[in-house]
Amino acid sequence: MPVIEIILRTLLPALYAGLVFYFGRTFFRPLDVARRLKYALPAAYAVIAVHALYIGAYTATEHHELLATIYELMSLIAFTLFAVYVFAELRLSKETSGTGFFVAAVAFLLQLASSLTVGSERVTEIKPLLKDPIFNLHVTTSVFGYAAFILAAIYGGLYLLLYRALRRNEYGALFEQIPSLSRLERFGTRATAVGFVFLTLAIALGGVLLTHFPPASNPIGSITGAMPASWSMLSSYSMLLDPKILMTLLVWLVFGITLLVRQFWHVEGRRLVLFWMSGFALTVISMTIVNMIGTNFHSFL
Amino acid sequence: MPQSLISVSISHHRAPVEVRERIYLKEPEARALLDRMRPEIAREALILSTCNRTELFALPAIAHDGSEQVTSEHLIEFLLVAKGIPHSETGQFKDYFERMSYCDSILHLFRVASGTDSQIIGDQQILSQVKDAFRIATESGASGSILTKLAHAAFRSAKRVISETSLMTGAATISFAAVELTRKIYDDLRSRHVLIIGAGESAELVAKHFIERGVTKLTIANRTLGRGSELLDRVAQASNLRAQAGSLCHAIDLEALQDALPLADIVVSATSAPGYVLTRDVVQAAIKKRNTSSPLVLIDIAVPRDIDPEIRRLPNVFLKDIDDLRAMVDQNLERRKLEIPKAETIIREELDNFLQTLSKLEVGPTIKELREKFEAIRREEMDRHRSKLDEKSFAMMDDMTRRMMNRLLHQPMVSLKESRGAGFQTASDDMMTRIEIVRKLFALDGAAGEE
Repeated sequence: MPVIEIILRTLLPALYAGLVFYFGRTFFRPLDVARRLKYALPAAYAVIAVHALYIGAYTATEHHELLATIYELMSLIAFTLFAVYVFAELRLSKETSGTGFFVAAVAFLLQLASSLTVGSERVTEIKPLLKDPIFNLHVTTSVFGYAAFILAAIYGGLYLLLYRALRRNEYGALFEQIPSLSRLERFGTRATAVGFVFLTLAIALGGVLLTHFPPASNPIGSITGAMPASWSMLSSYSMLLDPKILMTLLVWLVFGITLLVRQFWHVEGRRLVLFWMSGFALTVISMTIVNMIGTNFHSFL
Repeated sequence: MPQSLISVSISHHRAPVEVRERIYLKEPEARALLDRMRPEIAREALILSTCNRTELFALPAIAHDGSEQVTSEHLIEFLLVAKGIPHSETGQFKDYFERMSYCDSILHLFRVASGTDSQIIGDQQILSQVKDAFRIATESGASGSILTKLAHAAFRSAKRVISETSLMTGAATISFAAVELTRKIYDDLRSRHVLIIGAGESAELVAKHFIERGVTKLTIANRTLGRGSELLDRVAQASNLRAQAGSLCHAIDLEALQDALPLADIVVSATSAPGYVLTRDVVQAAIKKRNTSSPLVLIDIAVPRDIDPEIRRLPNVFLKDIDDLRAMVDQNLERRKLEIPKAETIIREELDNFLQTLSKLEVGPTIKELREKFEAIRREEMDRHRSKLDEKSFAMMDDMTRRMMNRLLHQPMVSLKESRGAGFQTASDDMMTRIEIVRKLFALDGAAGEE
C-alpha cells in the first residue's frame, strides 16, 4: 500500500498538469466547446478517480485521513475543488468549460505543494481526536467551505480580469473563452453561499469540540490542561482570541456580509466581487501566515 | 453529363454596387427566369441573387445533334436581356462577370455556401440564401438530379465549415458587435432593460438583434414620439414581442429620457443629434437613482457621438463607441481570415468526394451501355449463322461467344470502375476521362447516361 500511495502521490500532480495543459491549449487556441468537452470530461473524471484512490491509499497507509496537516489538507482541498467544479459546473454548463484552465491550475498547484511536502510532516502518534467523528466532520465541512471559497475566488479573479479587458477593449482569449460577467458573478455568489454554509457548520462543530472534549485528548488541552477544571469553560472562550479562530470568524463574517449586502442592499457586480475577494484574501492569510504563527492550535502532529 | 455544368457570376469581387443592383433578381424575377431557361437554354438551372452577387448555374440544353451549344456567354446575354440592360451597356457589364465551368463552378458554389467568398468573411446569412435559391429552383422544377446533388453537397460542405472552424464566430457587423459585447456583460438578456435612443436604421437593426437574443424589456426614446412608436411596433410585431410573458415595451419622448435612464441596464444611442444626448451629469444622476450596482452598459453607435466620452471614467460603466466596436469587428474578421485555409481544406475534401460520387454515377450507365452494345452485336452475328448450325453447335457457339465477350469486356470494365488518381479532382477527372474515351470509342449514344 505505501508503494501505491507514493506512486499516486507522484502521479497526481502530473495528471493535473496534463489537464492544465489541455484546458490551456483549448483556452488559447479555441476549440469548439463540444469537442473540448468530449475529451475534457472523461479526463477530468479519470483524474478525480485517481485522486480518490490516492486519498484511500494514504488513509490506509497512514491510518488517518488527509486532514492532520496543512499539506494533507491541500490535497483534500484540491480534490474537493476540482470535483465540485467538474460535477456541479463543467458537466452541467458548457459555458464554464473556459474556466477549467484556471480551476485545474489551482488544483494542480495545491496538489503539487501537497505531494512535495506531505512527507516532511508525518503524524507519528494518532491522537484520539483524529479518530473522532465530530472532528472529522468539522474538518470535512471546513474543506468543503474553503474549496468553495477558492472556487469563488477563481470566478472573482476572472470577473476582475474580464472587467478590465472589457474596459480596455481587449477582445482576446479572456473575452472569447470566459463566461459573461453576470454568469461569473452568479457562479461566484453561489460558491460563496455554499462556502458560507459549510464554514458555519465547521465553526459550530469546532465550538462543540472546544467545549466538550477533555483536555487530554485535545491538542487544545496543551494550553488548557494546566488550568483548574472550573476554568475550562472560560478557557474555551479565551480560545476565541486565538489568531486562527479570529481569522476564521473574520472570514466567515466577510462572506456573510457579502451575501447580506447582495440580498438586502442589491450590491452587485464589481463591488460584490471585491467583497468576496477580500474574504478570500483573509482565507489565504488564515491558511498560511496564521497557521505558521498559530502555536500548537490546529496542529495534530 | 455533369461536366457540362457552367456558371456565371457578378459579385462584389468585380462589380460595384451600382452594377450589382441592376442585375439583382427578386424572387419572382428569378422564378420567371428559371421558367424561361428551360428547356431551350438549360436542362437544370439555379439562380442565386443577393445584394452582393447574382449567379446563374446551368446544365446547358442538348441540341438535336447531341452537342451543348449554350455557353457562359449565352447565359450572360440572357441575364442582361432579362434585366433590360441596354445594348450599349452590355459590353461594359460583361466585363464584370466571372465565367466558370464544371469543377470551378462546383468549387465556387461550395465557397459561396460556406461564407469564404462573402464580402464579410464567414457571413452567416449566405447559407440560408443558397438554400432559398435551391428551394426556388426545386419549386420551379429547374433543379434536377445533378443540381440537387450539387446543392446538398454544398450544404454539407458549409455545415462542416461552420462546425469544424471558427469562420462564423464573433460579430462581424457594428450592430451585432454591440449586442455581442453586451452579452459578455449580461449573458441572460431576458431580465435586462434595454433603452434605445433614436429611431433610424441603425437603431432598428440593434433593436432587432437584441430581441433575437431574448430581450423582452425594450424602451425606444426618440425626438419624434411617433417615429419611435412606429419603430417599436415594427420590431415588436416582427418578433411577436408583446405576446411574450413579462414583456415590457414602450416608446417615449426624448424629454422623458432622464426618467427612463435609471431603469435601464443597457443603453444604445443612435441618433443624428449634433451634440451629446447623454452627458456625464445626466448619467451620474441616473446611476445614483438606480436600485442596483450592476454594470451600466452604454453603446454609442452615432456619428457624431451621442454620449459624452468622459462617462467612460465612471466606475461600473461600460461605454463603447463606434470605434471600440469597429476594433472588435476588425479583430473578429482577422480571426476569421485565419480560418480560411482550414475551411478551404474542408471544401476541397468535399469537392473531391462530390466529384468521385458523380463520376461513379456515370460509370454504371456507361458499363451498361457498353455491355448492351456488345451483346447486340453478338446476338446479331449469332442470328446470322443460326441457319448454318445445328442446335448443339449453335448452343456451343452461343456459349463461346458470350464467354469471349465477357472476357473481352472484363478489363475495360474493371479499369472504368477504378479511380487511379489521388487527392483533389485527380481521381474523378481520371475516371471521367476514361468514361469519355470509352463512350467515344464505342460510340455510346448516352441514352442510359441520361436516365
